[in-house]
Amino acid sequence: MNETCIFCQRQINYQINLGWLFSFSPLVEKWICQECYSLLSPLSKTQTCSGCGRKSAVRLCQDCQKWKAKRKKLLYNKALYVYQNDLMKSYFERYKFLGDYYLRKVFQREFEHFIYRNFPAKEWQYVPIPVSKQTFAVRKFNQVTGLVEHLPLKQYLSVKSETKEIQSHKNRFERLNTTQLFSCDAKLNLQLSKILLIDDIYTTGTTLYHAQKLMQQAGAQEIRSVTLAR
Amino acid sequence: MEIANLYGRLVTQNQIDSSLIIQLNLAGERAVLEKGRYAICQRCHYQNLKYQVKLPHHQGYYCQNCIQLGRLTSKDFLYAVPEPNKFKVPEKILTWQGKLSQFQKRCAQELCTKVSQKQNHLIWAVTGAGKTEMLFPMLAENLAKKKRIALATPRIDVCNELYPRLQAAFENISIALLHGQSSMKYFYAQLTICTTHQLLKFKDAFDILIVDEIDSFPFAGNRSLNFATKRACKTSGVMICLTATPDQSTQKSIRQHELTVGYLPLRFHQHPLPEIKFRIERHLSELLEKQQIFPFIKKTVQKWVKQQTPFLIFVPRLSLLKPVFEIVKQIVDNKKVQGETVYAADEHRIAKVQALRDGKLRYLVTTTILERGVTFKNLDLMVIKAEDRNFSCSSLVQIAGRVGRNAQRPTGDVYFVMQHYTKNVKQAAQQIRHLNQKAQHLLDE
Repeated sequence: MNETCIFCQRQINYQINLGWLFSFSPLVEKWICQECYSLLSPLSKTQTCSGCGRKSAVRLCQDCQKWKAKRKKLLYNKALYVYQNDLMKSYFERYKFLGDYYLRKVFQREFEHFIYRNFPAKEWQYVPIPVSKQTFAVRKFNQVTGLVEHLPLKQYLSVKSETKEIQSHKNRFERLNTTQLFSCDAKLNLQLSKILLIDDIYTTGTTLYHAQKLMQQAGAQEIRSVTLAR
Repeated sequence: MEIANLYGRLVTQNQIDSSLIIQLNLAGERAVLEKGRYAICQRCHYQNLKYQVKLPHHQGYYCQNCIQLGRLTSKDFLYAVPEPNKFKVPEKILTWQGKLSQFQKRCAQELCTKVSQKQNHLIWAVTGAGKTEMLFPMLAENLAKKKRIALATPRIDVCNELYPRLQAAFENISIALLHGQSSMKYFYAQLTICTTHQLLKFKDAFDILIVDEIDSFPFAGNRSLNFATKRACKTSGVMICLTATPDQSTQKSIRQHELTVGYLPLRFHQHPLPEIKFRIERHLSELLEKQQIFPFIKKTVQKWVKQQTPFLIFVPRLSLLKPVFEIVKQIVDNKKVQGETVYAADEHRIAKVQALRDGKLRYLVTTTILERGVTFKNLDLMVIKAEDRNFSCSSLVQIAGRVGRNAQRPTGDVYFVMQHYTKNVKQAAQQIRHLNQKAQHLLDE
């Protein structure tokens, strides 16, 4: 059992009491303490944009309206937490860029359950967004597959160009104007199947819409996406 | 890459040219070793649990402890380039004009002989004794001998404070300042000021390694930092420790003659340390919870306000800041006497401390963050709930040492308000008495 919070190193209170004992529910392992958890801003209880899952008062945010204007079928992305948040940012900093693979455990259970509940594996095929070879050589893991280790994943996609620059080093304009990043097997036939794209962060949506295009070409009937942060 | 930047450094295969490895005939060691259910990092000697730090696709294990310095995996190799002591020594080394007191001089001389005898040495000097200045003769002597010297301390603020002082004292020598938030790029320097974390990147580099404030967080009780300090020092090198409050394990190594100790029990103005006065309040927790004023605090605070001197009130926990602040506010109840609260994550911490120095603020309610490294004139202070676990013996002594650091007013009030006595509180009082006794002996001689 993990005992200290990975953000503040304080002891985690598990609240083992009679109430819990007679609830007959399992003791869920925690990685962050109550105080740090309260600093995160979950998107589940707020009103969100139906297109990308960000916090928004209107039903379709400006960015998504632009995607719609480009004649894209919206992905109706769902996200769990706000990315513009100090704790979330430091989490991704350590997990992705420093490469602390153990941190996948923090949100793994919650993320997997979320996907499984909303998009059952019987109907949907889970497709994680891949990382480029260069990134993989440094990081030694794919941060997306790490987050959803226990789900049945389909590796349909691979990163196309050998010289793909890291998305987070580009600015917004550069990101929106990149050419297709991914490739997939030309013979791939996804006739009448439902595809769920899984990524860690949705920022401009470019990555996911590139992936969507390929899946459409392969004949997928319905394509949606899920990310941990937005 | 310039080879000079690699002298005495511990680097991975990516940070060093492969031609250089062959040229210097370096033997690499695996960065993370597997041993039973642990994966042991060779940089910080931390024992990672294997199942926690396993990378997918059989790519080995990594170290979680020192990941901030760049991740090491069991596929990586570490290389250390030996330190050749290639320095150009300027003619005039010490440009410092000040003078040491008679007692400082004696301590400095003792230090010089200990260093030449290669004997590890501890200087137990009271807070505000002028430890840094006392190092200067020894530093000057050994810089002239082309020795490589590092001054390490656990805290970044102490590093930042030391750097300008040393640079002013040794104007002709370039000094490297290394810590996580430093904008200075690493370069090969004869004199290095760094945090103890930075020592993880060195191996057999320094002839003399000085560790300041060895009792403070995060160095005290941290095995990997203790290990790194030993490794950064050459096998033929000397380690000098400076502290005002040695902990139990240091005192033990003194008793076992692994360390010799030099006392400097007198402050630079040659007055003894102010002694701690205790006050027992049986219902302190409830009083604080209800934010109720009690006679003792009222009397004391009013006295300080009348004196027109700044004062600090220490609390053990963040949650107590507000109630104590409210109580003090009610007592002073005056627009002329302004105060603030200070804690570690406070953005305006430095500004508030400066405001107290300038006299814009009259008091601060603070957590242990201000326990060391800050100096105010004419200060008085009070510790609320001194029996709390968050106050270790050394931090209590340090807190008491904030008072009376000025030659014009070498005394001041130190009140510990608590519910009951604890070991730490008693030890702190005893340590101060012990040092004052030593000081008295010195003065009598």
